[in-house]
Amino acid sequence: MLAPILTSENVQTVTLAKMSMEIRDKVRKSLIHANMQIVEPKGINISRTLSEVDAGITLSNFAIAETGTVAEICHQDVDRLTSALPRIHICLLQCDQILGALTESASLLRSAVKTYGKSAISLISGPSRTADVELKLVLGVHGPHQVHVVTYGEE
Amino acid sequence: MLVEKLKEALHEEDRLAALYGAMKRGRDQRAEALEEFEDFNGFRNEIKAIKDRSISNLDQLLEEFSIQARKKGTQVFMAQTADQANDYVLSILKRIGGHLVAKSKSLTSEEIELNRPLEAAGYSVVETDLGERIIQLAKEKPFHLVFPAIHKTTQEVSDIFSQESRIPVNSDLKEIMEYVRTALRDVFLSADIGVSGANIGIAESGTVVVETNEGNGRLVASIPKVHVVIMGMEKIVSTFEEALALIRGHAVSATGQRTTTYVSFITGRTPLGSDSNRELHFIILDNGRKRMMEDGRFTEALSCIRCGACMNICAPYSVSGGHVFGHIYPGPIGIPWTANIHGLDKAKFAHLCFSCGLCKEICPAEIDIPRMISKVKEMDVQAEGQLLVNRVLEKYETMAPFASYIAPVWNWVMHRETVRTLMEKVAGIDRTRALPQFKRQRFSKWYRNKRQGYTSDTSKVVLFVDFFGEYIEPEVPIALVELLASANVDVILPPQKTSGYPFVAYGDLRKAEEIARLNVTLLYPYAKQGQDIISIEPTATYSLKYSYPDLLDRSHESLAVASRTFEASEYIRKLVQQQQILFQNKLHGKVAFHISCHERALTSSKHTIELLKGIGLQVDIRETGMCCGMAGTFGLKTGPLGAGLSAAIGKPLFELYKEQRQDYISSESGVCKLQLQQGTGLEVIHPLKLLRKAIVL
Ligand code: SF4
Ligand code: SF4
Repeated sequence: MLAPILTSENVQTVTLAKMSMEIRDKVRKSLIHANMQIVEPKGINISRTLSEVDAGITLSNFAIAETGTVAEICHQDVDRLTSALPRIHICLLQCDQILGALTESASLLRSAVKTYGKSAISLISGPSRTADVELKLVLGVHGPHQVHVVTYGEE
Repeated sequence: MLVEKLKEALHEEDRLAALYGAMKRGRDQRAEALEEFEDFNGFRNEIKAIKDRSISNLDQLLEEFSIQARKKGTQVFMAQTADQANDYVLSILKRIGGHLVAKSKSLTSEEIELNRPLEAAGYSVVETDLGERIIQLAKEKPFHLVFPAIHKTTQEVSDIFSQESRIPVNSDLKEIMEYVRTALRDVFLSADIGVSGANIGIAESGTVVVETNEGNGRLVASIPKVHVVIMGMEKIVSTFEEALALIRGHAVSATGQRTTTYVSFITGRTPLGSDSNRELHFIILDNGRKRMMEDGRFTEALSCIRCGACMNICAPYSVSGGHVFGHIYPGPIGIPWTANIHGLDKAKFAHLCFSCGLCKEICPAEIDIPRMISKVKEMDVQAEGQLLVNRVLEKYETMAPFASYIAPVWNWVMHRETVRTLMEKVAGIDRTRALPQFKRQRFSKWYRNKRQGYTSDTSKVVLFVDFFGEYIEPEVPIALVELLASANVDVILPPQKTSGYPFVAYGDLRKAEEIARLNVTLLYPYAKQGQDIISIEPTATYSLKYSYPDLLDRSHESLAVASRTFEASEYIRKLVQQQQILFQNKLHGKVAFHISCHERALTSSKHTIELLKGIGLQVDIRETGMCCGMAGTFGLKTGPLGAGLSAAIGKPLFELYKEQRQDYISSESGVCKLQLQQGTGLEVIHPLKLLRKAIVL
């Protein structure tokens, strides 16, 4: 599923955010198979490296149907920047993690903050956008121009 | 000063057209999104309840918020003044030796004018929100709360960026975005400090919520070594549940989105790679908020969630824009904020408000903005004295008994060119505006002489007539008496004054209170006996139901009168439903109907519209969604701050009536009638007169 999206958008370099070993292996395999280069940002130039990558793949902790939102709970900013800097963001979502309404997410947010202490949680609803000039909507400003959500697992 | 600025603004037609379009879009998108809320009032009540609760517990919430935030390693600084907040940011920059500050949109940092001292000390500050960046480069202030650069066209924006980059950026939105992304990407990557505002603080975990659509908020919060959040103290709520309700309400009300694209919950500073030595600072700003909270008159202003909806419905703002109708905080809610935070002398634009009341109706936190605005006007009038023209217009009603006594002479005099020129010079009443024509036969006189035919012992109702019915168009209350007579209901007309609303509108609250007390005293005995009171003029009904209790500290008497007061149309409709009034003559054709502002706080003319349909008319509501521009006596004043503003506001509305055909134009308000008649050159008829045609006596 991943490879076709990436190839059709001419993606060459990809970064992966934190995810379980099992999923990570699967994703890596399909990327390598499609001839993608996987970039591991390290050192003092992490942000610059990430900024030059074509696509970021992250794992969503849960999603919200009502608003078309994916939620990412991060305790490392490399993960946060993986969905913030590249032009294409691909978000993996396990099917049984979808809530109905925004307001239903309160207890998940609370427990995430309790468990991790320091954390940055982002609720993401589509690509970055602005209507600041003449109120005309344009997609893709500082964040991704495209967001793809790929679901997996049993419903 | 205010007048000069306004004059200039009224001449910039392109800008006004852009602003008008933007506001309309804002209203439409919001309305569309609101359709999803089955229960708009429930949604408003929830937001209001959350804000009320949080503000009354503020001290406790502040303490809990700080404790929790510090536990997560966040440094919390309570800034009493703008200077303290600015100095704190400066001290961080000095300590870490940085030079570049990347900011994401923060009205609170505009409030304290943070950029000024930072730039004076040699630091570079770059706004990264597109709208903010445009006005930063243009060296202007925000035009609108949510869309700061709404007054700039694509061409102007491309010029601004071409000048910045010294290479041409084409007047094409995609190309502009590409340029902005590249130019600002470098700023994000090399900034030493990221500064952002916060939409909400959550006390239970010491978390702040930052909402952005462009994604710049996430970048300033994650890339630089230091992230500084500047947040007004009123933003703190207790729990995640409350925060989510506000997030939803904010998005719907501001842009009609179901949620803002990025909502970040930031708790402590997360590491970047192996660098865990990074800082997060919360500057919690007072800067006059505590005082506002303790001053009962303005406490409510702190409930504002900065959605900008009140701006999108305010007619005088629509034709003057945020640079005139605003200081740093623009629009209706900008008036109490400016008066309290930046000083009364900066809040002169309060006098542009003509008390139509619509901002209150649209506010998701149900803030009574018009009430606070009249307090600001009052403070200013007390400090500076009332304008002569406002004094004259307030008195116009007081002169009425005399004017009507000598009506033919008065009207003739008032038509003389020389007299009008003189009135304009001396009293500031615009020469070109039609003044209401007085009738020789006042309604109360007719009532004493002619009513006998319609008396009844069985059923009675008390009538509040007000200015227009009494002096200008007695035919309207007469039609009402006849409609009621057909159902064998008699009308009682106790002694009464006109509503006195102009005193509220012009900030003479002491006089307004006097009249309120008098009218309530005169009407209370009837209310006490359970007698219904009906009122024709929407502004008068609004006064009896809402303004009087406010002016009289919600006294028992004022509340009793308010609870027994009904719109005449509602009363008539009840009689029609009970088949006591029978419409035997059907009318034909189309009525173009204008809903007056104060009707929106009542029933939005629901009953009248149904009644008109009931007599066979097709009702076409013709609205711009804003005030017609007459706004009481406001439009009578000469110069930009009256007739000029009023004509500019009315223009798009008049077009709606001129472009399309109709058999009647109708409105319940005497004031709107004056404005519509003069603006369109067409006859406007009161709905009660149409209904009267449908009965046989
Ligand atoms: S009452 Fe009307 S004119 Fe005054 S600020 Fe509110 S919307 Fe604007
Ligand atoms: S006063 Fe009400 S409508 Fe105006 S910005 Fe604040 S919350 Fe929105």
